Amino acid sequence: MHIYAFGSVTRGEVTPDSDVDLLALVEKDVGNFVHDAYSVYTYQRIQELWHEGNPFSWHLHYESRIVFSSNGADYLESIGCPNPYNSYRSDFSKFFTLMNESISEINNNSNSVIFELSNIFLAIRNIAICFTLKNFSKPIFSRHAALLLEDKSIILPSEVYQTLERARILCTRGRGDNLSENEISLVKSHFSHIQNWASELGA
Amino acid sequence: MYDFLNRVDAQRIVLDSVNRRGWVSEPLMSLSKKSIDRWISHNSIDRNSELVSLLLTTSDKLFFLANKSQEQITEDYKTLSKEVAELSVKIRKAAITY
Repeated sequence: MHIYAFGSVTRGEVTPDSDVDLLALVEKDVGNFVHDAYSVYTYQRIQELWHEGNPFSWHLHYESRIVFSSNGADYLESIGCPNPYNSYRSDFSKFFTLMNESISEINNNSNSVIFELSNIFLAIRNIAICFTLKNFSKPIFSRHAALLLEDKSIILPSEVYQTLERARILCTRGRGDNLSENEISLVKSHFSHIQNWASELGA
Repeated sequence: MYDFLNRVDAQRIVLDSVNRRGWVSEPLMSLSKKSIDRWISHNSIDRNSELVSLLLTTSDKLFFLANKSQEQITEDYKTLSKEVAELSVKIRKAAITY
């Protein structure tokens, strides 16, 4: 068994809303890790992700730090570099679909608006990360990757971006103030701008 | 097949079932454990109710599915996907009668 820290804590991106992301590598998931606290992967699945050149494999390659090893070895270091990332088209399509479906749900009066806004933030972040994996010499995995794309950065009023981020934190960590109708309306008024930004990254 | 977008859809269906009923303080925002905990405490929901139990079970299964390879559709995996669909129906009934 191996345990790694990854994500914001390894980037020093620590805020009051930050959690420590932990990865557990196991032969078989027998349920001894709480899935809310750990991302649990089998060694076989990790090898598949490395073979695919999956974004998560690159994330772990660049930003994981070993916390525990049952055999004294650093497993992720031992398997080396993931295969080159070559699934931008399908990853972009997946997250663009997520964005568009969530926008459509909200426009059709969803009763779970915060969930849908959280999906939109996830889509923005992941489209940006995948864009950097394809185009940048060093990919960016920050939660705020979309703001760090130089001339391709998303340009939104800070309160709109922060409302989307708050929705994500409410959904994943259950923390923060609920969103007001005014805040939600403001975000809705920027949907087409967000979709245009994403379309440009997919072009 | 429960790939990423299908898991989002599964959550969406469950949340719609729960949130059709207006809650005192806040809707259920997602199926993460922390989000379910928040919804329980903000709305004074009975932690021992069938509804909470079904939601926690569904949450477990969706997180389990999240770590499964899309390419390896084992019998266990198929069973889990079917169980989530069945749980959605039970949640809808439990939310109405809570």
